[in-house]
Amino acid sequence: MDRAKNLDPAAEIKDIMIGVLELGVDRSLLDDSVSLYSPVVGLDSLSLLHILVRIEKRFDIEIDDEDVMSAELSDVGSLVEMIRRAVEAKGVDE
Amino acid sequence: MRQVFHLETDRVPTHWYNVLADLPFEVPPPRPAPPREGRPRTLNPQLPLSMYRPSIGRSRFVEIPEPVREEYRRWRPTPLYRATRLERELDTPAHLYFKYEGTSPSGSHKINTALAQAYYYARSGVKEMVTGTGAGQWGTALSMACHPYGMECTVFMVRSSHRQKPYRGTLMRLHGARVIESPSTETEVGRAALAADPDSPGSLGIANAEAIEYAARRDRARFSIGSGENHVLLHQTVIGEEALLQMETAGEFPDVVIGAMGAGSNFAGISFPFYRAARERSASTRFLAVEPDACPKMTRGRYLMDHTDYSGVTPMVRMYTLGHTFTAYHIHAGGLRYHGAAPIVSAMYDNGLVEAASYSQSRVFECGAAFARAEGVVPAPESAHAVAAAIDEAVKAREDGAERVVLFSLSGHGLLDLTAYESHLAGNTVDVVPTDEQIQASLRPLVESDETAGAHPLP
Repeated sequence: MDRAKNLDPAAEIKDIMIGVLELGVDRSLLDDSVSLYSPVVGLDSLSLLHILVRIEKRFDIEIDDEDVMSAELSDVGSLVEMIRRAVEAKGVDE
Repeated sequence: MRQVFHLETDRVPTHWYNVLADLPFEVPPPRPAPPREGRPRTLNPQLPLSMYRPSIGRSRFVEIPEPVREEYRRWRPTPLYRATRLERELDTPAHLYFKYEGTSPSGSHKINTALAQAYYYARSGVKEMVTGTGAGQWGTALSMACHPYGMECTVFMVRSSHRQKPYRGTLMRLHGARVIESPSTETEVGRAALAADPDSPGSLGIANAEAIEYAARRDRARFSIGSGENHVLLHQTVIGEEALLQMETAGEFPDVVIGAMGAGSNFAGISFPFYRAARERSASTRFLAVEPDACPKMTRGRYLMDHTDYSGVTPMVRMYTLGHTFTAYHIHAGGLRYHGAAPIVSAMYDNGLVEAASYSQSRVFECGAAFARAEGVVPAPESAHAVAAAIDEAVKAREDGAERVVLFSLSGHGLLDLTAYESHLAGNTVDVVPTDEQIQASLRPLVESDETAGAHPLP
């Protein structure tokens, strides 16, 4: 997890979102308050899972099913927060 | 003497097979559903991550959780038979083998994924599973699978099938499910479909759309599907993995593997492990998906981005489709009336790794009845499509004077479909085929929005 020590997880998560969703926008446009349903993001539940799988690979973690299923995600910040908690719970040194 | 190839209980596969590991191309990824009015303000994941994860990965084998294997061992491995009497009646040099999934508690292959899904959903804290079902086999399987995990089950069943096969509804209710005829007045989608056509026979697309809407407003409820998604195909590979061992015992390897094609899970279940084995031994085995003339998604559809549900709220996937608003004529094989083919099967078809054929309803029942008389097993109308294609392969082998090993999946029994067979015996089976204009009408909006449509003209 040496890479994780040097990078901002929130930025990485946003970069993965941009890549998976092929958004073609700069990370700065993905402010925490941007709705996941906004035209900028346009996320749906399947894409969310795809993003989570990519994040799991990147941070070498496995996110619990229950954490994902009970999540009520509304904006970019809530998604970043859910993943941040999962990463911390797995003891990844940020 | 009938030849049966049994496996001991401890030979239930330990792993599902992920065909993505062996495909020489990438299966196009899904595209997010378009934004729409009235969408909920929060996003609720519909699939357990641990179930979804392996379905998009490239690991060749995925370990089956022990609790799921334990459930499988209650009736698996299912038997493989050689249809010797049918061979004699057809006077064919072909060797006909069938893998019989009708011995499962639900009477079809569907329970292979229903149990796996119920396991993953229950572990995720879900309390109610909601689904749509065509012929009722999937609804039956899910209602049975929810029970051991203490989950409730609600099933929207396509109206034509619900009325044709009343005992399916009884069976689901017996296992604790709430069964709702679709289109229904319980959802906006259902009410709109009824407003458009009060006599609508319904479709799996509409039933699924109703189930999605219904689940979205229930606490800790999730929509579950048993047709063409990657994880469903993955779970069904237990069929082919067992059949590989059984064919090995028989000392033969199939020249052709045949499966009926609804959305593709039965076809994938029997054929994917043989696809791997054929590659390993450089065999030129053919894989034949068989669909009804009434819903010819592969033989007359197009390879386009489309929704998996009638109302168009689901993500879009690239698949052979007749268009998500296409409503197939009412046929007895309700489980094959789905408008699209699984993305993986579609990609394999597009790349020439899979063949497809379609059959009329009357021919299917003629072959199903012939098979029942010869082998003593009544095939489900869906499964009888595979029987029809296997018989044609056997006849061709006779005409060619060549031995040929044919393996097909008899995905379920037809003991709850006797009304359909009664209709056949009375000479009342009707053949229905959509016109080109009907197909083009439901495809037009997709073609107009798909920049690659020109690369895949009508076959």
